[in-house]
Amino acid sequence: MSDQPESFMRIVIKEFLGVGNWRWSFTNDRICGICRVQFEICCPNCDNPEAQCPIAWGRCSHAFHLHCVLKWLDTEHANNKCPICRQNWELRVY
Amino acid sequence: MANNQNLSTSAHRALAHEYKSLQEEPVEGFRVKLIEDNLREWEVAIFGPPETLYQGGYFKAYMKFPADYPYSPPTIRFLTKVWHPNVYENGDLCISILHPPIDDPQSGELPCERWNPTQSVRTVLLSVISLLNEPNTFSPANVDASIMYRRWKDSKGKDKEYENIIKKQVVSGRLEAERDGVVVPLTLEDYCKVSSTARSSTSAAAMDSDFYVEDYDLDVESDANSEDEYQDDATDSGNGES
Repeated sequence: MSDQPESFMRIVIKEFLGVGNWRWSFTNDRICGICRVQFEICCPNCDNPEAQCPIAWGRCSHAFHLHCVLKWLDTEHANNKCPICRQNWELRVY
Repeated sequence: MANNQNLSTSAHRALAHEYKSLQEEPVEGFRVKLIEDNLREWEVAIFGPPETLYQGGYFKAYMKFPADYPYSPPTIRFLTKVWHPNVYENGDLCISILHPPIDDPQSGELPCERWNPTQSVRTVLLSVISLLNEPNTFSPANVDASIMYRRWKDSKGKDKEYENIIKKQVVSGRLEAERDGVVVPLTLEDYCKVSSTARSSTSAAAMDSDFYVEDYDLDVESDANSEDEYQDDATDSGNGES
């Protein structure tokens, strides 16, 4: 380092910002079948992009944004069925 | 976009998302556009599938979405005159995928054939295209067309009344396509072409970027000693030397 020419700029890093990347691994689908938005991103029902938007996994093994599937189950014609396989929707709890 | 104000935000987002993806990756057999920039009203053009009576046909339809889409189904009304067992006199289309899945044993439609929020414009329009050539005569919207279709089908094409009407409509559809400046795909190859080129170009782009990243990593590895500055951000922050 010492024999570098004077004009060489030396940088002292005072601070740095780490960026992480994460992904759910519980399902092969990367997007919610109802809103078609990625599971890592909150659903269109959330106004704030920082909102807590949990994932709901049914006993039938299909997963949706919790908000999306609740909104569906709330409609008069949902009949408590999974929108994909039409088995009874039962939330898996861990 | 004042027209979109009465649309719930999530429906607005879902429709904007679907519209964008259909523009970027068109599906064979149809094109969509918005009516007056209103996300809730689309004009769709359906091309008759090759090697069927409908080959070369051009059918325009109006698609209207409810404020709670995709939790409730859209409706479809043909703007082009369509003589078909499942299309009403006024152009309204009757197809199970657009009916909410209520238990209605009278209808003869199974709940699994009906609307659910995982359906999309794509799946609906593909069902419509296949319904064109394979009408459902169990619950016809146009009884006369249904009887005529059965006669044509049962006589194995000898009774040509149905066929002739469809052919006439295909011809008038083509004239309309000409007026609209639209080229209707006639062969199977052309029918599938637009979408496959669009699709392969996007996947090629995606692959390119993947390859780029891989090459980049290899480069960094092999020249790690001399080219520390060129490491990507993630590695940089890990090795932050001061």
